[in-house]
Amino acid sequence: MKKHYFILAGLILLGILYPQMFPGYLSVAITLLLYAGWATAWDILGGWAGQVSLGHASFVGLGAYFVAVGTAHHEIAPWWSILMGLVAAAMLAYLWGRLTFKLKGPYFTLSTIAIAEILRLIAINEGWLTGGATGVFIMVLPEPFGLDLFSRQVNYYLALAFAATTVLIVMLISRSKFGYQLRAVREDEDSAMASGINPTTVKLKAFMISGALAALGGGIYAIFLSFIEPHIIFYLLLSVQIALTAIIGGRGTIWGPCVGAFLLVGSGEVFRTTFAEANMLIYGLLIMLVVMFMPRGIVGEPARYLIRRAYAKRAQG
Amino acid sequence: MKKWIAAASVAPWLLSAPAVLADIEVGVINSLSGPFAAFGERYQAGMEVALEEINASGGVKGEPLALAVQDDRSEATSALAAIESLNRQDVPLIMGSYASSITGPMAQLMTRQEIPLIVLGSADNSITKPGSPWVFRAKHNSSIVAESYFDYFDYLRENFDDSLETVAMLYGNGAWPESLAEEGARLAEERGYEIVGDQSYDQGTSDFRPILNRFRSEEPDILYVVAYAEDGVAIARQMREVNLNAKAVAIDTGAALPSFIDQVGDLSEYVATVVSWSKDVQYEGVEDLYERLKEKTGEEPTFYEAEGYLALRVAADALERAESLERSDVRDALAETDLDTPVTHVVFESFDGFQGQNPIRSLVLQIQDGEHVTVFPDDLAAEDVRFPTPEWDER
Repeated sequence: MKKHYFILAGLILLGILYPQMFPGYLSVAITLLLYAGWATAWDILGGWAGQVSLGHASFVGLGAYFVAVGTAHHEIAPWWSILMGLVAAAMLAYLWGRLTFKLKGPYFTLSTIAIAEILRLIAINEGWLTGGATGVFIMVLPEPFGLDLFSRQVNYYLALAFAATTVLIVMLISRSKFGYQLRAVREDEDSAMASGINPTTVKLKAFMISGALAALGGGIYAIFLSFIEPHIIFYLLLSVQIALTAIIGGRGTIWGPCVGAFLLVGSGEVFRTTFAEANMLIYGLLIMLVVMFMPRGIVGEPARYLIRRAYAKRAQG
Repeated sequence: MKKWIAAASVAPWLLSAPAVLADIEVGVINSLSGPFAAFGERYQAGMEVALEEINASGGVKGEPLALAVQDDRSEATSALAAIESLNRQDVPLIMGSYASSITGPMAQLMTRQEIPLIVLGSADNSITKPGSPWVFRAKHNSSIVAESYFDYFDYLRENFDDSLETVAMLYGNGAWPESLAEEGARLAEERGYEIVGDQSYDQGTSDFRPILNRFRSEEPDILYVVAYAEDGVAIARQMREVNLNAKAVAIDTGAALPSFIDQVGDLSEYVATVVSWSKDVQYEGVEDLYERLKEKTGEEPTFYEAEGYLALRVAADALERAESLERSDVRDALAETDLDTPVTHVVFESFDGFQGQNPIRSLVLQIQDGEHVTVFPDDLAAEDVRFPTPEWDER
């Protein structure tokens, strides 16, 4: 486990130095870090607890809207509005989970799409609350300690802090009692229940942490774009991209979602600048290849191989 | 091994080659893949026609002009990465993009980085209101388009039928339809029209009959619809099915495309729509531009190609007049633009809370005998308005 902490510390150090080394490539890095954070947050529910959600854009949207509307319409400083967004996301996850965790398998996934769609429609139609379909511009932000929150550098470090925090939380969860409960529920709910675990409570906790973290990233995303529209931010495609990033990287692994973000966002950017109109096609082919040949994800597949080899060795004595 | 050494020695030369070929490069961020690619391609074609014209007449400051094009994949995050990439190439200005969800974040970032932006396709008011000293839009916005519709309704009221009074509004819940509806409602009240129906629908709806039936019972004089392509087609067809009649019918966006007439057929007659350019508008050089755009695309050109052409003409004009290719000089030159083109006249002004916005005269087209025909404003019209729209039973 220690090695994971060393890797994280090393990556954070690299991350801190990155803007000095590549000052002209910050937007891609911010996008990559946000996706790494969102996918890791998604994985707490989707990977560790085994409940596939295709509605995580609602948490991203909730966080983004709290920041954007808070700043643009109510003059609330973004650090307070992000906090409010976190609490709101956790509460939403609680209510949402209470309603839907009785459903199993694909039915839970379908219900997440439905609830995300409801939130999208609220954002579009309740103009008094959200600014409506035309979206919200963030024109002015306070400058804490003289920091310009709009600057790419500050956006970058916020995104880095977000991604690092999320990974750290997953590391802590993976070795905690809660982490083992999650895995027990994922593998077999009935057996978990037989050993005294309440699956609904465990899943609810996972959902609340996952949702709150996604909302945190959403708040940073709003500052990064400084203009949000409900159609884009509550979009099903964003939910799918978040889930896909974690799945491609490897569900239920600490580094899988980060590797997925690196591959999908990084290759997306390389293909965009190299292959012009064909970039989406090549991107699609890449995803297909990974899914076909590494169904457990890029990190998941070798991790499984290593674990099996370790067991085999132990069995041989 | 020798091959590798040869390749390595040639590589830097190859990489620097494009910079030698093109002396002045302007940045373009356009949606060439993803959901907006169909529009992006049309803008691209228009820009290429303008580029050929500019270079044929000596380029800019005596140097050939070139486009540094970046695809935004129809996403804001990719557009922001593209800005950084073009910034590294030190382009004097950037043109882009189609959707407001992409152009909005672009305008914000480019204002902070002090790079001039010429808006390519986005018509959302919020891009130039309050705007910034670095953002310029030669095409229309939601206020200008809504005003064009109501100027047209006023014209009908004054010249044909002074009893025109009631309006029913139907619009999608996207950013553009909503903002056009909002402006429409404001103007209706201001100019003494009564709104008897006000209904938005979720984009992707295919059955409008319940709404249209409700409108029918209100007997509106004017039907004001804002809908994208497929929705517009469905609404036009279903109006006939439920026998909804109105003296004037306007369908924004959807009805402006040639495919609308192909798909709706005779039912599209009398429908009016506002655009920024049309092939029969009474500006100098329109026919020539129409032919060139048609040759480039191989199909009937629309206002999308014209807007792409317009953006690059504005860029080239500013670069030609700018004292240097420094961005602040280019921005100053853009602010002083006073340019006649076959698409429209361009000046950038501050008015009604807008900044860097061309107060463009939008055109009202009416579908007459299976063709889009410019009917308003009077001095730019190619044909007379056909009014009133006959009832379905009488057609």
